[in-house]
Amino acid sequence: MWNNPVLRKELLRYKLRNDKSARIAGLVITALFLLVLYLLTGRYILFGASQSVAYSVWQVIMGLQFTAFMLILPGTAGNIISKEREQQTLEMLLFTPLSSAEIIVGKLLSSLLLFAAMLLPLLPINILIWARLIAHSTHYPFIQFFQTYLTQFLIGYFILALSVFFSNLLSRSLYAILASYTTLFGLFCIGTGLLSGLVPSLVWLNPFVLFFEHSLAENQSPADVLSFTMALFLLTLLATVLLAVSIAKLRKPVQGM
Amino acid sequence: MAMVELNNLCKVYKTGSDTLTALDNLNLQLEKGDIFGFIGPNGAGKTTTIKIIATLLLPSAGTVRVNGVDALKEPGRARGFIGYMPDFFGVYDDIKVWEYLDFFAAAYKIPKDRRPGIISDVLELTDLSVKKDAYVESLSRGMKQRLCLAKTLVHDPPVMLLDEPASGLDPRARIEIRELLKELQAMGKTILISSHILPEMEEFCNKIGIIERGKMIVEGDVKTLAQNVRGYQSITLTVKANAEQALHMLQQMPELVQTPSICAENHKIAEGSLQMPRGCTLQFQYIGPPEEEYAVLQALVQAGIQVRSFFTPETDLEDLFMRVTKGQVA
Ligand SMILES: Nc1ncnc2c1ncn2[C@@H]1O[C@H](COP(=O)(O)OP(=O)(O)OP(=O)(O)O)[C@@H](O)[C@H]1O
Ligand SMILES: [Mg+2]
Repeated sequence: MWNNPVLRKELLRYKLRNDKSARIAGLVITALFLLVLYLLTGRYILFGASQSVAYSVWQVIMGLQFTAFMLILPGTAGNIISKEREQQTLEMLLFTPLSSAEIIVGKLLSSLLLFAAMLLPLLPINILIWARLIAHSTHYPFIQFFQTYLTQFLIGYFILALSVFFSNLLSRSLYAILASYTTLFGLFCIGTGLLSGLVPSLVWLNPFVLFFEHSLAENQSPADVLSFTMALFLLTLLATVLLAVSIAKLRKPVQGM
Repeated sequence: MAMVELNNLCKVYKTGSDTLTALDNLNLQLEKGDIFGFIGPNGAGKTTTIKIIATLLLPSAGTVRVNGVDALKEPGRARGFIGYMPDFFGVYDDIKVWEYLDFFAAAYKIPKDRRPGIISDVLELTDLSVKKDAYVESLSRGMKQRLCLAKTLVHDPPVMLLDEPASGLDPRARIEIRELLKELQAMGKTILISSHILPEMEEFCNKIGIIERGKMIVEGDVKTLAQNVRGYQSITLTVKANAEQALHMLQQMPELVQTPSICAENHKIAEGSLQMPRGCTLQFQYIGPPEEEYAVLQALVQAGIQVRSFFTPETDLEDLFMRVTKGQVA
């Protein structure tokens, strides 16, 4: 996986350039933000407030983080292939012996890694909260900590695969990004809600429902666990199918032009 | 075995209800070491042909073989023999020059330990060694063009397809590209190069083909072509003395020579060479059998005329181009 040339190239491109001052400024701002956050919340959550308040703070942090990703991810990956087409580098990329799978998977992995990196800054505070929660009672199941991350990661995978799919299908980055947002929010969030009158279980395909109603819920009803798992599995499967279609289509438009 | 072989290649573009025949039964055969100049007016079908050879476009009919491999049946294998430089291309400009080349070397599955050697070789060849650690973004257009050429060389392909590699470059950068092509020629590569800059092509192409509206109008060796198309070959002659007598003799050979004349100005054979004094240079059009123009020289020498030079000036490809093409677009 690490030898995928496309992945390595994309990672190189994330690297901030020559501009040392920009890099340092970025680091300082991030560090300051985290410091303030940790100072404001840390002492209070860890020692002051009650268990349930700490738990609520964790819910808010995770909820905000999840919402932020829902808004950001389609934009970050929506141009990943169409950009190559727009800057006229795609033809030369397709001319190399790299397989279509290597190209698509390399592109997806690079955005997945960026996503994983964005999960890191808030990880310590979440760990600290949970350390307190489980140290003092057995009311809060530790497994929930992992479950939220897994859910978040799989939904992220779904959104990125959807964006890669549109990025390959539509030749313009703008259209690809718009299509990703429209499908995610229009179809999977609003559409499933409208159709749930007919097929109630469809609401489970809404990532917000999955995350807020189940993953973050204090008392996860055992009856829902099956629906939740099924829905998550379906989204992951759908993402994988979209990737497979992208791989099959990657070299087609050029050949059949 | 031919390195590139096109048989009855046809390409029809369909846009809505319109159909456009971009290539019409095109045939071409290039041997190892051939430098083929592919010339034609805008929209003639050069890029279409090159893309089909590069397996990036499917022809409507016909066959393509590259180094003996059927490019339609085994596009992946055929691509391995080809270095392709598109007419319009972009570069990843947010990485360094060597990282850019390393990416393509890795894409060609060249083992990691061999890559640095190859990268410095192609940088050397394209005169970009000093820019190794520069960001691609900081290169000038001519340098980017050479970088793209360097990239097409990482897997040492025997066949190179260059679609207008010198377009949009200043005269100096064009000369640099030309020098580079000469080096590739010396390495024994088969090169197909499309261009509009005609005088450059005749200097290093051993074959040219002129295409118009998807049809190859003429194809072959530059000089023979010129004579076939024009029906004559112009020859310049310098004598030590007795120009008048030489002129008189030439006028006596109407079956071989037409419109002989003495040049009025000083004549320079080539840049920097000695100037022939005024009144000693004659020009005429040879219309006899091809490759037997020596008969004229022989006759002059036998008549005691002291001939200092006898040569065919550079063929004027531009003139040739204007004669065979009609300026029609497909
Ligand atoms: N994708 C396409 N769809 C429809 N028609 C096309 C397409 N690409 C090229 N053509 C048409 O095919 C003909 C040949 O085009 P091509 O690009 O091969 O010409 P060219 O010889 O490379 O011209 P130029 O010197 O301008 O680069 C043109 O008439 C062009 O309009
Ligand atoms: Mg062209």
